[in-house]
Amino acid sequence: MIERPPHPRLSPPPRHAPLLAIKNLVTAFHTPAGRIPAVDGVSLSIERGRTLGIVGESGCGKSVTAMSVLRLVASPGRIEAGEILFSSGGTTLDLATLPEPAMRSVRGGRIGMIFQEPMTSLNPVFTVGDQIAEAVLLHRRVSREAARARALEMLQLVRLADPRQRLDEYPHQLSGGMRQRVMIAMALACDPELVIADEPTTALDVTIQAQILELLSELRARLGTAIVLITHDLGVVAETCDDVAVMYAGRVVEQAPAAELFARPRHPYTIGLLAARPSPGMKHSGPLCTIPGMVPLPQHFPAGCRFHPRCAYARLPGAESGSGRVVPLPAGELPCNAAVPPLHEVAPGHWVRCFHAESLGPPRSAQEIAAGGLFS
Amino acid sequence: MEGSMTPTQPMRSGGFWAEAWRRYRRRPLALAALVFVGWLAVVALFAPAIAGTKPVLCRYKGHLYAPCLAFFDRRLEPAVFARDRFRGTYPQNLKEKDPDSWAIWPLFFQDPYRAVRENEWPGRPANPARDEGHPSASHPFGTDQYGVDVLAKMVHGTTVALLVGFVSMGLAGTIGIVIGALGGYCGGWVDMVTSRFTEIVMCIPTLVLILALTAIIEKPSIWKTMAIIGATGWTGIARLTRGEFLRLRQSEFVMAARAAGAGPVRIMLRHILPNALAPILVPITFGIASAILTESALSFLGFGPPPPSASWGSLLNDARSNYSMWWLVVFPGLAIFLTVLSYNLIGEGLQEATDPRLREARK
Amino acid sequence: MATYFLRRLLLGLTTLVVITGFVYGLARNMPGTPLTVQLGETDPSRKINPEDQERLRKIYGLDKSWPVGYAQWLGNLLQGDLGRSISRKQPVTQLIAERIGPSFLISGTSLLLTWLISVPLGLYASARSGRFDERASSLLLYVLYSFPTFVAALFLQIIFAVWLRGTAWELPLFGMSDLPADAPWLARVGDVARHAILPVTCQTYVSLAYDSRFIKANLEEAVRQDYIRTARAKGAGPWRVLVHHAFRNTLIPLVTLLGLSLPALIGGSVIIEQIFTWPGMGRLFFESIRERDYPTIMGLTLMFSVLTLLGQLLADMLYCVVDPRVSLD
Repeated sequence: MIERPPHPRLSPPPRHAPLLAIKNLVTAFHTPAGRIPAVDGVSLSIERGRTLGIVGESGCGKSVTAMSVLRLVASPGRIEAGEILFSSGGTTLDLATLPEPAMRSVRGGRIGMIFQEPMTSLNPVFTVGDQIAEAVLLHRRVSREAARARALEMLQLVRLADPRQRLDEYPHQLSGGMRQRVMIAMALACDPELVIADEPTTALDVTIQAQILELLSELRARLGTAIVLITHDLGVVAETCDDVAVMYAGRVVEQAPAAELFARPRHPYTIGLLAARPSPGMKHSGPLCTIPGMVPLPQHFPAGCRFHPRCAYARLPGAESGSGRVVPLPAGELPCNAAVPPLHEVAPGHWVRCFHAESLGPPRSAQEIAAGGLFS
Repeated sequence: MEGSMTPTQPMRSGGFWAEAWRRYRRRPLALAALVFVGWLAVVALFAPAIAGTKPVLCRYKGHLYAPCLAFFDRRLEPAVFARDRFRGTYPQNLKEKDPDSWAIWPLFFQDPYRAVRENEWPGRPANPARDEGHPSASHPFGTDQYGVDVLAKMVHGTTVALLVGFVSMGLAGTIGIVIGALGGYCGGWVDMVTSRFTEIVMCIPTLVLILALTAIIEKPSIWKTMAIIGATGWTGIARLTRGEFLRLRQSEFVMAARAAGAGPVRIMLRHILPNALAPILVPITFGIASAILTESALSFLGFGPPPPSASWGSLLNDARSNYSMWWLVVFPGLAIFLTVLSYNLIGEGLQEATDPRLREARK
Repeated sequence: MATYFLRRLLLGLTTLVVITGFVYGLARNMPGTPLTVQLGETDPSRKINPEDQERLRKIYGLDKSWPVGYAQWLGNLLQGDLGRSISRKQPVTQLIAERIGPSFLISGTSLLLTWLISVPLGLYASARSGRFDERASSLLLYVLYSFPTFVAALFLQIIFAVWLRGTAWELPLFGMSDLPADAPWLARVGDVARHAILPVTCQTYVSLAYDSRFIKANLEEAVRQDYIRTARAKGAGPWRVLVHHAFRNTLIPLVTLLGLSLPALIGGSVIIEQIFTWPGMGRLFFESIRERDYPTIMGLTLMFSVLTLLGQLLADMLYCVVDPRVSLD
């Protein structure tokens, strides 16, 4: 393994060539109960060698987005529209329409994936070594011995204790944390340019979670692999990610560099999420803030901005709608429940899907909002 | 893993069984099978009124009688007809011995146990026997070696086919559930004993056991055959019940019931059994299918109940003595096949409707 | 490991004693004895005189109560003696040895065919799950599965032996061979093969339908697991995912099925052998019950039970081979 210099975190590569750009992705499930658009117009971009966190509540479509990138969405689900542009080795592939055989060489070869459940994601009847070696053999023309050697090297890389012995052990002989290290080793075995980690730590103990996240950060720094980290934990994002995309009800509502997002959130939902987060620095010992209402189910997505029924800033034509304060609608402005706000850039690299992003930002920080109790 | 799975729709509330029924109804084949079994039950219940030689209802010497009930049990034959020397032949005797009498006859005037003689029904010839008895307009399914009408035999055999399934599986289900529940709930030495016992019985090949038991009984009857099939077919049910009870014994609601002071019998019957019933019901349904198969196989091998009872399998046995009488194979064979198929389809429908895992997958 | 086998052995021996004791008791309590059944069938000129009858009763232990008779049988068994068949006047071991071949010919061929067809069929069905061709073939298999063997056997006999008589498609109705023992061996092999076609077909189709449905159900269960998603995320193709990852996992329930088919493999099928008058083990058992031939009944029961126990042991051992999570201890 060639040691690479740590990736300079403060000097991102040129912005015009994102490694992965998702444009208006629509993935829907066709069930007897009707069409359920789990992902409905997601646009995202991931820069080479950086870590993008995708944050959102359960059911917001973040996992489906990830599965769509690898085209692994389960049967009733289908990618219906949009582009998934993956720039690799000088060419740009549209993963949404790439033929299946070519897609297979992308899976595991150029994009690795780490799943949430380390307990069930490894095949119980094959040894750890075989499973990692399989990933190598599927993409590299090497001998079995070389693949096995690579597997051992990967196990050393993810700092599994007794790697030589573990190679011939079965998944049931390993603990959850160890299995997740094996998953990471498998995902990285072919030197992919991108690794998608779908809630890699959710199923683990808190102490193990920290170790795994640390390992991921370290490996990214060493190997220069870009990472998409899917999580519902803002703390994880704050610690590990360079960029953050916030998803709500099947759409990205805000994307920005992590520092920018935490300092100057522009979307009311992001503001709410940040305010709802307990932080050790909070002097205020009152109750945590919450966002009123519930995440809508995909078959009951509201029209217009999907957050408007829960939004304190929503401007509606009448007063009848839910929690919205009655704000007289200025001439020419669209009501939040009628038109879908576009995802637009409010500051360099800071994209927001809200009509009122400009008027909401930028001076308020999350701490201020939390202290002020914007949502109560 | 949220998100990648199909999101749940808000469930209409309803009990577990209402929900299962709603899912069951979505399977047209399973529904058709249920209709078919229902139809068989109707045929079995009204067999003497569908095919027979005794009036469904008649007025004789001033009294109303239903001699057709004699097909269910000989003792139900009104004594007056024996006194008046009817000897089982009604149409002419009724008119001769009481000119004022009237009778409602079965839809199909044929006897399941004997050939109808010439002019027994005014103007109708005797039933053809041997390979003369091709299916024809007067005998849609033909007649057997001795001239007995196959359709009449099959209509009356429906009772046996249905009873065999229900009686033997009722018995097997009871034994299986009791043994399985005791083992699973009590654990310890009780479980040791019941599990070993089940294993030993499982080791004896079923057909061997059934043949041996059938050979030993003194007076074979259809009821004894059913009892034997039931007594040998409970092992699978016991194993499954034990597993379910073992699993549910540790569940919160059983803990809660125990904490509330419920006794072991009450917990087993009121709390665990209803929850374990759905998975147990599935092998019972499949068991009905295999009990019908076993009974017809036994009758086919000549180990079934003796002649007067008209089992579909015994018709097949008759066919073996003369292979040119293909109608003795085709019609009873299809009847056995369709009944077994129906129970298998019902079992599968039930399985898919009540299995929570499958439910998740096919939402 | 050693303790495991010791425990299994002890349990197995207990089971055998219980089963054989039970069957011996049953057999002895059947109405009639081999002597009376035989006497009723043989013509009066060959009637056994009372002294001979008494002598025979002594030889076969029929003069004692059944527990004593059973103990005697058990004692002989320990010396490797299964006794002599009463109706066939032959040692039971020799009788069984003669019948194993024909039974195995049918069951072995059938088992081989079943697995050769049902595994690809199961893989095909789960690969094309939900498509029209898969639904049609699954329905057909389901119908076959519900089709009683003896009905199918009779249908086939009527079609091939009666309706097609005199054509090139005619197949023999009964027995294993029509040719004399001194016919050229190639002709005899061909003759036996022709006789075996219908019984093998009958024995195969039901297990074929059952096994391929079983394989498909287990494969469908396996492909829902998370590790299948992992395999696909690695870049494995659909065929590799199905065969290497999913099918390898379904071997776990399959070996149990394989172990359970051991008794039938050697023991044959009572019904099929009876219908086709095939001189195998199942028919021998059926006849020995009819003739009240206690020594043969006991010998066969012992063999069936030993095979069942061995089959279970085999299944358990194979289970450990295919599932690394399970060990024999």
